[in-house]
Amino acid sequence: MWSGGASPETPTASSSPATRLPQEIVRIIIAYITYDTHSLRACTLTCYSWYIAAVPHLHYSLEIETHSLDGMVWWPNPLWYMYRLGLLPLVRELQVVDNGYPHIWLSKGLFNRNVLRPFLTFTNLRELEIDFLDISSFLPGIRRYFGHFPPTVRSLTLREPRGSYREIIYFIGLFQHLQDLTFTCGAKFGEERADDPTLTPPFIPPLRGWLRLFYFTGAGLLKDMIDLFGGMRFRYMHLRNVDGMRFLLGACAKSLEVVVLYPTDSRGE
Amino acid sequence: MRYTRVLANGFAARSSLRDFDLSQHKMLRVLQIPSCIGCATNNGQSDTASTFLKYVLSTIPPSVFLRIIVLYWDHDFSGIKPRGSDWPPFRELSEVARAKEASQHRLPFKVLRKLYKVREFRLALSATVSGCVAEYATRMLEEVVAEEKLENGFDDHFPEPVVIYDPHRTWRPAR
Repeated sequence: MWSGGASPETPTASSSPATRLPQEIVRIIIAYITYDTHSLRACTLTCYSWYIAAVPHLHYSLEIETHSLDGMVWWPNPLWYMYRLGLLPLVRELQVVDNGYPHIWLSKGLFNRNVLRPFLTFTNLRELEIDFLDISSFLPGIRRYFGHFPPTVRSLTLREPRGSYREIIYFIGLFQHLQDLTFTCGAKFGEERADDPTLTPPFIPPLRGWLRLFYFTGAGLLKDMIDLFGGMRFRYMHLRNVDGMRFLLGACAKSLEVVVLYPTDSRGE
Repeated sequence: MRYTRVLANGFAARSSLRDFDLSQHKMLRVLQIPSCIGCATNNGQSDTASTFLKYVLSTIPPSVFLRIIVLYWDHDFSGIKPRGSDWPPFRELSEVARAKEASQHRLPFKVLRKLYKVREFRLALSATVSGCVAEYATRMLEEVVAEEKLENGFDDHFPEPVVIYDPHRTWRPAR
């Protein structure tokens, strides 16, 4: 029974077939275009129900690149406008990258109160990737800066982190549900500071997913991880130019199901 | 035999073939290798690649049901623009360029046929690419398999591979 307002014949925005689709169907339609940012953006402008279905995909991934100008380090605009619009909780995949030279070490000094505020609103991250993280500089109060990430983060990627083995393991141990771990490192990795034997990781993450190592020379770090976490149980490994290959494959002999190897990295000697 | 693996930043990691002994890996199901084993055929490294892979395969226990997956990433397809380029993510390729690309993708078969003599395995070609280019990449790999079938054939001594799509969310247009 029609109960007032516009008559059924009156064309209104809500009478569009698109807006009358069940939300489950809208989600299926949106799933086909999750990689097409332009179409996703158009969908968010259609109506509220399409906006709700499309917006998490649109902001699924955020890449922020720090850059320096006249010795000052700047955080990029997308971080600020997404923070102002309240969109940062939608981000599932955060990459803090540094493509410049010389590299900017991501240290405690760059996280003043204003910068920390948007970072505290990344409450649903699944994947965290950070370039040139100076872990040592955040200790001992590292939880103030990264303490809100751990419950949801499943995948952590560190490109050339700075810190002792113990400090890096402590950082990994903040993420109690961590499954995947990726390292891309140089030769000076882990050699810069003396280890503090009293630094014990707060959690033992499951680490049963992917271990990805690229140009990795920190075999000692993995040995310390096994000591502190009581073994290694990765099911998948992606290894390219890795020191300590025998040790690593041996450590996961009982759990390894999939391995990615690069035969043509090798040069006969 | 010893190998020096040259790192991109100039450092070298040293290892021997024995470091890749997988005889204790009873849970192993899949060995993934990059499609560049095919490029090695062109630049004279095919012996290195096949020696390495022959050794690895010979160490895997016979009881293990093994699948080898050859990985093709976005950058392996010349018809796909580099990550971060503007939308749409495809380049215009001439028929000749497309045929040349398909013949490049067939190169791993030379190494893989040798490996099958060492140990039986199931073979898959994986388009490990972003969703927006999945159709292009999988169609290309299906053409590659069809051409290989036409020229060299598949039989019990080297069964026909399957083409799979393994999505990963990395390709997004620049903001």
